[in-house]
Amino acid sequence: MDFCSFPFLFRFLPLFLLAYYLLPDKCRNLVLFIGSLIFYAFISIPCTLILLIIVELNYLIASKMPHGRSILSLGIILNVLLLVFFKIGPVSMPGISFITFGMIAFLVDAFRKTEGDYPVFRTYAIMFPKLISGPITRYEELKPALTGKRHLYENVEGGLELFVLGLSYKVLLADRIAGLWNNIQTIGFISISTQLAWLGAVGFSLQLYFDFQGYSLMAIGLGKMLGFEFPDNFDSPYCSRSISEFYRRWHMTLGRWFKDYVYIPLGGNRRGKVRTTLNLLIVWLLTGLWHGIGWNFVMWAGFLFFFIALEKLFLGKILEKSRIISHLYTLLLIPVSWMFFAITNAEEVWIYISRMFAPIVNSVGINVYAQDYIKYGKIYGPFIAAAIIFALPWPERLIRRFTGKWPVILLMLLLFWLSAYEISINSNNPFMYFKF
Amino acid sequence: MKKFPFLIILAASFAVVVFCGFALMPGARGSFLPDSYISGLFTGISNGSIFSPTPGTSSQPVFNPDAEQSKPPESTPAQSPLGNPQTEPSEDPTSPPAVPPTQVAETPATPAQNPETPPPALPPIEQKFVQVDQSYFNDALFVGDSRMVGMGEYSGLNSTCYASVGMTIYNLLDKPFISLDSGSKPVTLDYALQQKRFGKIYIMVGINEMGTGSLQRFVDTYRSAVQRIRELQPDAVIFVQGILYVTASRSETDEVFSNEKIRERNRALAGLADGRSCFYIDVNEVLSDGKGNLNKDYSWDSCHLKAQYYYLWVEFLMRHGVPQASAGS
Repeated sequence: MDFCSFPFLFRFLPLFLLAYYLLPDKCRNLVLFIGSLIFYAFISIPCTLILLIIVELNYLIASKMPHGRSILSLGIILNVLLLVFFKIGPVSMPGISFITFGMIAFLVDAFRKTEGDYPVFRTYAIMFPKLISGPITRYEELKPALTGKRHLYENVEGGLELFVLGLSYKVLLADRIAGLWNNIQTIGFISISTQLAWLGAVGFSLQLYFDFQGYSLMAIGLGKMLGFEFPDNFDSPYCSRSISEFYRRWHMTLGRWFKDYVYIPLGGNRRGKVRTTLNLLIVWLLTGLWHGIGWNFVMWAGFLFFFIALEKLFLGKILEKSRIISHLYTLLLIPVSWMFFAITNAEEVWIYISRMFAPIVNSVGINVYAQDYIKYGKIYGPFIAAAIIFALPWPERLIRRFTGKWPVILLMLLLFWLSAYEISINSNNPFMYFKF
Repeated sequence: MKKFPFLIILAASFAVVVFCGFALMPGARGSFLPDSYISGLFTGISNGSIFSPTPGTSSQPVFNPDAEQSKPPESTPAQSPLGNPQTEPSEDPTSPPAVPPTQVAETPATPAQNPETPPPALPPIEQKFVQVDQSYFNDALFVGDSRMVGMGEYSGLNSTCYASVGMTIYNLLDKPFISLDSGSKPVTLDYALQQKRFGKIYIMVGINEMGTGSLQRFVDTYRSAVQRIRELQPDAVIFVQGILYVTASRSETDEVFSNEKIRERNRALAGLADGRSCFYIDVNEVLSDGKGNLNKDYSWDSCHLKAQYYYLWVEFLMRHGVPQASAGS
C-alpha cells in the first residue's frame, strides 16, 4: 500500500487510527503490530511471511547477545545476503533495504549493550510508518515510547500536519516535476538542448528531494500520531556549502547508519589520512551499492567520494572562506551527481553529461529543438519555483512554529484536498525509493 | 474541538466530500467504500461532468462496449466517402476500383495512375505519390496530437504545426490552443484555418481516443472533420495519417492501447481517402519493428518517437508527395 493512495488515506488509515485511539493503551502495540502486518499484506502476502521470518531470525540472534561475536557476524551476513538477494534476484521485496539495515543496526546495538531485553521488538521491527522507506531508526530511540508512556494526544495535531505537508510535497511538488524528467527521456538525451539538460537536472534534484522528504515527513508525522518520535531525515540539504555538508543533511538516518556501523568501526578518521580516505571510499562504495547494484551507482558514489576527499584534503578550507562560491559549488555539482544516480545506462549518462557541458566538450546533439527549454520552462517553471522556495529552511520552520494555529490548519486542509484531488485524477508515481 | 482542531476539521471535511460525491455523482453510488465517492466527485470536477445539466454529456464518452464489435466498413468499389461537393458530381464509370478500406495499413494506399493529362472528367481515384524535397513542406500544416507536436519540434521543416498534447478528433477543430501571435489569446483550428492558406495538411489523431467511443463514431467524426477542413481549405491536399503504433511491450500488456485495435482504426481511416485530394498514408511502414509494433529502439515511453528518429518520418513524407496540379478541384 502506497501512502499516497486512496486505499491508504481513506480506508486503512482512518480505521487503524480509530482502533489505535479508542482501544486502551496496553492494546496499542498489538494493534500496531497487526495493523502493520495488514498494511504489508496488501503489498504482498508472500513478502509478509518472509518479513515475519526475517524478524524472528534476527530476534533469535539478538537473544544470544551480547555473547558471541561470530553470531553477530552471522546475523550481519544473513541480513546482507537477504538484501543482495532481493535487490538483484528475480523477486523483489519492498522495503528490504530499510528492513535489513534496521535489523543490522539492532543486532550491533544489542551486541554492544549489556541488557538482553527487547520488549515489543517485533512491533518495532515492522511498524508500518517506517517499514517501507524509513527513517532508519535505532531500537533505543523508540523503546521508551514502546514500553512506557506514549505522548500521544499532544502530538496528534503536529503529526497530522507533518503528514499532510509530506503528502503535499510528494503529490503536489515531486510528482508534478517528475513529468519533466519523463519528457526529457521521451525526447532522448541526445536531442535536448544544454539549457534543457540543466533544467532537467535541477528538476530531478528537486523531484528526488521532495519525493523522499515528502515520504519521510509522512512517516515521521504518522509516527508522531502514534506517539513515537522518529528522527528527521533531511535538513534543507540544498542550502549546504559543500558536498560533505550536503550528505550530513541528506538522508541523515542512512548517513548515521553508515557512520555508526561502518565508518567508526573501521576507525573513522582516527587512523591517519590514508586510512581515513580509505574508510570514506569503502563507506561511499557501500552507500552506492545500497541504492542499487549497478555501475552507475558506483560512478555516483565515486563522484561524491572524489569531491568529499578533495574537501577533506584542502578544498573544504577554501570553501569556508566564501559563502557564495561554496553555495554555487554545491548547487553546480549536486545536480550533476544526481545524473549518475538517475540514469542507469552508462552510455546514456555520458550523453546527458555532455549535453550539460555541450559548449565545453563540443557536443552537438542530434536533432535538437532549440526552444525546448522555453516550452518546458513554462510548463514546469511554477512548480520548480515553488519547490526551490520549500527547499529553503524557512517555510518548514514557519509551519512548525505555527503548528496548531488556524492559518496553518486551513493551509493543511487545503493542501490535503488538493493532494487527494491530484492523486485521484493522475496515476501517481510510486515513491522513488519504493524499490528499496 | 480545542484539543484536536485539525483532526476534527479534516474528519468533518471528509464527511462533507463523501456526501457531495454521493449526492452529485449518481454514477458512483452503490459502493460502501467512502473513497469511491471521493474519486467519483473528483473525476466529475476534472472532466466537467459535474457542472453539466444532463448526465453523460462530456466530450469523451465512456468506453463503449460496441467498440469491440464494430467491423470496418465494407469494401465497395464505388465508395467515395468524402463526397467532395466542389468536384464533378458524376463518377467516371471506367475508373479502377477504389482502394478497399479493409486493406492492411502497411501497404501503400494507391496504385499507379497517370496524372499528367488534364482529364475532362473526374481524374481517376488512384494517385501516384512522388518524391519531393523539403521545400514542398513550406506551405504544409501538421495537425493532431502529441505525435504531431513532435513533428512541429523535430521535423526540421519550415512548416506550420497546430498540434496539441491530448488532442482527439472530437475536439480537433474547436479546442482553443493555437496562439497565432505570441501572447495572443488561443484560437481554435477552425478559426486558424480561415486565416491562412495551406498547400498540404497532414493529420494524425487517434491514439488518445483509444478506449473511448465506438470505431464508427471515431470514423464518422474524422470524416466530418476532414470535410470541414476541406471547406476551409479547398485547395489543400489532405493527408490522413494512420495512427502510429505503440511498442510491443505496451501493446501486449495494455488492453486499450493494442496495435491490433490501432490497425482496426487505421483500416477504417484508409477509407476516408478519395485519391484526389485526400490521401491516406501510414508512417508505421518505416517506424515499425516488422511485427506490427512501433520499433522499441525508436521510443522510450513506448508511445512517442524519440526526437532523433523524426527524420525517418520526414523522409517517408518526402516519398509521399502529391503534385499540386492534380489535387482537389
